Amino acid sequence: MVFNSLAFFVFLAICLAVYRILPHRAQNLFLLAASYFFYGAWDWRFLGLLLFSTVFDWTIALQLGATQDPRRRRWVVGASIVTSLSLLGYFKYAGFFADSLSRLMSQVGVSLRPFELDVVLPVGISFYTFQTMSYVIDVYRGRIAPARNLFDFALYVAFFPQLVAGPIGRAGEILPQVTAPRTQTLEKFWTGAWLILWGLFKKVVIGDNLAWLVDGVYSDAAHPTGLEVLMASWAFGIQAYCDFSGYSDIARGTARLFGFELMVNFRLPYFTTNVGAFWTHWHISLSSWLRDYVYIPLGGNRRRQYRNLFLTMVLCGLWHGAGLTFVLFGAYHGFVVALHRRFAWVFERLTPSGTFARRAWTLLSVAVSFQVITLGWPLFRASSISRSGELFRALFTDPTPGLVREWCLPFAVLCLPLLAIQLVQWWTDDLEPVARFPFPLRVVLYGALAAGIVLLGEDGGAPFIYFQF
Amino acid sequence: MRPSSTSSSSRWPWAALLAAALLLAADAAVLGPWGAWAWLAARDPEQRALARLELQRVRQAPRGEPRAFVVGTSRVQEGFDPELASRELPGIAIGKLGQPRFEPFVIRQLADDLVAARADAVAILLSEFDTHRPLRLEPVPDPGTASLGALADLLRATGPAFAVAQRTALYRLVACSALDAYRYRPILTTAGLAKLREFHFDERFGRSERGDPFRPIAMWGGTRHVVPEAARRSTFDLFPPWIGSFMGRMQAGTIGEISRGPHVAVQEALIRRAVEVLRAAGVRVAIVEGPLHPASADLHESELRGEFLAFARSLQDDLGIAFLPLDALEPYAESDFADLVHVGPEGIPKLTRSLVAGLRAAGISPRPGP
Repeated sequence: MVFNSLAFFVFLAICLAVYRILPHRAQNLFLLAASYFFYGAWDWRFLGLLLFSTVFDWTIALQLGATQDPRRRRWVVGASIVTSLSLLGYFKYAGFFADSLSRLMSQVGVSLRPFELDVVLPVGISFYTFQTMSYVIDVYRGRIAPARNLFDFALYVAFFPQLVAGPIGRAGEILPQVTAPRTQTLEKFWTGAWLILWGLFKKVVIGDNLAWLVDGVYSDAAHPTGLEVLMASWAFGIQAYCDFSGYSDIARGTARLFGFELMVNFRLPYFTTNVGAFWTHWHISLSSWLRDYVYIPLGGNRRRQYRNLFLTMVLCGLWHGAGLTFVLFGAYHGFVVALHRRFAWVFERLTPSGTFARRAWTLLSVAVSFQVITLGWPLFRASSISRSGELFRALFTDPTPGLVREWCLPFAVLCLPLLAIQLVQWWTDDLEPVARFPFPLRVVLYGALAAGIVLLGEDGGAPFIYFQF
Repeated sequence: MRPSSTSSSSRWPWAALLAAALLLAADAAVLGPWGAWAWLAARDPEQRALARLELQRVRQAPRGEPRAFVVGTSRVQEGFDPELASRELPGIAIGKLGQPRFEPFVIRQLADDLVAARADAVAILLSEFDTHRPLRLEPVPDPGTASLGALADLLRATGPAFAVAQRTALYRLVACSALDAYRYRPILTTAGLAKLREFHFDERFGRSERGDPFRPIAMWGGTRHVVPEAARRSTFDLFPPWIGSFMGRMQAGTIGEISRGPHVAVQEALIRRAVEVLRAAGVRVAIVEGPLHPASADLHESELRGEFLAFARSLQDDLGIAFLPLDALEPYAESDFADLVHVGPEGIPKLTRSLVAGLRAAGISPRPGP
């Protein structure tokens, strides 16, 4: 069941109707059952894995809460991390590592086929595994107390709006919302509905339609020109943003309908002035997770920060998918972020002082940053390293326009609504500025978005890109 | 146990409610029965709203001129000649609602539209080919005539397990029934919206257009002028090479679907309900048995025809309709068929006269000109 399907909205309507008439504890149990149903609709066999992760880490946290012996606590938290990473490693990376090992050995003349793996990736495993890991580590660090009630913890892990593609919630933020009675107001309800409408528009109108351009150019059989690759890479950057931020908005909006507040996962990432800032505005729940549980434990800014940045970004790339293209994508970003950090003082000195000049500089920085990010997308989106190499070759050697002129109209039509809304968000420094709009403008906006979804949106329930991660 | 508190004191989202009301009003004004949809639909090169256009055409017949419709699958599309029928029944506005997959569920959907079009008589071409084949909802059959009443009847006939199994198609049918903008989206796209969202490719990309198998109105539009096409088909050597071809195999598979099973009760219930809706509105109905190529008898149980005849006669007795079995019609020869299912040029006049006979049996008689 995907957010962009009619089935989901029928499911949501039923859940809301039942939810409203239940008392608090029963609401939690009902949401848990609904979440398992939601997940089981994908593939009920993987419910066992989700249940195992839930019960295992809940038990581990209770163990941590029950002992003060540092040595024993280290063992317990270590067991949890190893188990979680083993599950993730097996289901997500085993095939990749086996294949990589086999290729490596064949380079030195050793024919090695260790074993054939045909493992199906359980939807959402990267998200809920990171969620349970952060919970255990936070309990270990003494930042939160272990949840006493298994069902409360299970709802924190499995809450359906965030289960399959985040945001990766922190126990410190979500568990209190589970255990305490939640307040539902009409205002919350309608702001949640706005998030769903805007998220759905981004996904089915902008993202899914741009996907046709991206898929066409990135297809292995295609022979695009450099400008076509450039436009398709811009399109992919916007598609990925609309797809994932659209999902996050729908998740947040859906959660808000039930009285929950999930963390903001995207804060206008393409309005940032450098790649380092981009990663603090893009998939914030993942980047902050990596900061708290990888980058800082590696030493953070205190020692070897460039190495730490690079390794963290490589891990970030690998999180996105089991493939060398993702590793290289992470390495590229790690390199760029570290480089920017190293020479940040240069950029600070170059920044002009006058108001107009400063604004122009900001605009230039945003444009350059967007382009640097765009250069990383062929690594992320292409099916293989050799294919991304072909695309880079075209990008830098073939400046002919090809079909770019014909693509300009749909590209502009699809991107302009996003740009318009984001400019307002950026200008007002408010991610939900619509409530401030004049009444007639709101009427037009709501109507235009709804009509756009019906008339221009993709209808097939195209899966979200981040489901594969 | 404390309940979560619920507050209703906050502001209502009047802007959203007004936007929704305006959208629905615009939907009805532009795409409803009196709107501009017909103008758009008539310009759709794929003619995806042919049935609705035909209904509207006949509805606009001069006051006092009886309105008659002929309904059926591609067998009607390819085998019924409206010009010949008009010569046989002068002074009658005759509509042809024949398209692939106009099976019992679509006939039930059409019943509401036929009543709205103030039909006086309807002749439906049916046989065991319609009553004994499984119900299919993917792709969604003729969303242009989707109606909530037909959906309710479908669910009543099938039950909850079917609803769960076919939920995706059912959601789409609900959306089509509720919102004309969704129902006619492909037509609107054809009318210019496509330019706003579609990226075209050339041979360097290995494809030229986007393919979209999930569009609600995708495959089964009436895209052809049926009589000339049927005439062209006669150039095929029918058997046995025909059977070996792709279309032949597909048709043979379709004939092979004719079988006993729980689907028969569902299809019969849908037909019965369609006839009930028409009869309740005072529409006279005739069921005309549709012919199949004699060779098709080898591909399914021929005794199933007996079951169809018994069902049709029960409708005749219960609902007061006319029924014309093959025995009461002009006999068909092998040479009348273009393939296993459809009649060819020689069979078109016969099938047309059979359906005209059905309309006559329902009480439609020619009206002399002024």
